[in-house]
Amino acid sequence: MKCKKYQKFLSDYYDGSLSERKSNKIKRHLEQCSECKEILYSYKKLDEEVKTISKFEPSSNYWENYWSKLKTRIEKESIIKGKAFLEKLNWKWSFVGIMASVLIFVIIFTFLLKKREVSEEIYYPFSDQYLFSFINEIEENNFLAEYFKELIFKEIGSEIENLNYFGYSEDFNDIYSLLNEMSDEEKKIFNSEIIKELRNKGVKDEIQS
Amino acid sequence: MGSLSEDELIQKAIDGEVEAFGELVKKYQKRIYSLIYQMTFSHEDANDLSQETFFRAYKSLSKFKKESSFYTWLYRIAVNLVLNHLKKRKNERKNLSFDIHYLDSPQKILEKKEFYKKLKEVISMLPLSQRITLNLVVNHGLSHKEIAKIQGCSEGTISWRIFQARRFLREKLEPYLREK
Repeated sequence: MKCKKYQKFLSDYYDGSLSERKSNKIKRHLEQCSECKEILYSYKKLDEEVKTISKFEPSSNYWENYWSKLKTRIEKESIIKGKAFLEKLNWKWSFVGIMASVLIFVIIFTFLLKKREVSEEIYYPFSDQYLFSFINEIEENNFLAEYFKELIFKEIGSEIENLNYFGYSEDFNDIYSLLNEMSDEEKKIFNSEIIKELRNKGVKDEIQS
Repeated sequence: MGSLSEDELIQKAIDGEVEAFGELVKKYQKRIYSLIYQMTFSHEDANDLSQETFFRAYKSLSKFKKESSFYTWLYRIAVNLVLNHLKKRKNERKNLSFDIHYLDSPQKILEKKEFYKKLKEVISMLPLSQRITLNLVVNHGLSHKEIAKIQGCSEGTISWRIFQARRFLREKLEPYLREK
């Protein structure tokens, strides 16, 4: 190997990255070549100088605060991430909240509407105010009174007898008492049939107005 | 936490124990700082970029595969950061090349301080890949194999880079070296 070829390997030789065989070859050459020896020395010298200029030691105070500074940054990042997550979550939950509110409102509204319908259908005639005005109205109207008596007897007369009640009465106060004593089923019949009939005859409008 | 191995500390840090990561930082902070300082010769850069190195390492810790050692992985992050940083300062080399010919005259370099200034300038003139290789070999004592992993290239490339770097330094500083 000529000198120049050896010189290409001097850097690797100096770093100890050559194979043992190559390394021994260079070693033997260096023993007899001052030029290559000088190059090798210059590498050593340059490395020392590079190390010297590379030395920089910040104050001990700097290293004491190094981790705490980094930790603050990491925690801040985590908080920001957390906030972003919550914001994202909040946005989602706000949407869910609105949808849930709408749903609840719809359910309540539907329920109230249904309840109102049920109330009108079964219990509405039995509110005191309604019933009194209803009976008073009938009492003042012979035609309606007669009709009412007829319907009462026709529709629920048998049930009244079965209940061992006093039977058909011309006294509307008794009828009122009778109505109050009715079972839900009887009230239902009363509402659906008798009141419907009476309403058809014009009682409803007169009462409600 | 002092008795825990590096792998255990890494796992704890992944699980959310920030202090476990703190232990790793304390172990490598000086090495990473000096690696960057030796590339930039600036305390501010070394501080900012070393903090950034650890911060990025923490964020992507779960992606760390134990195919390489933790410090090799850290070095790789730092090297990439410093490369990007130095690439942004492209005109740096132009600014530093102004009086390099003075080195031809050893008489003008009377004080060591002046020589070190010139040495820094010559190092700054090296291509970044060579500068990093020189730094990792000389200041960090890493093998060509380890540096090849950090820089993502072959050992042959590392050998060539360090050879070129040394030859360049010798050429530019030869008069001074002869004087010595």
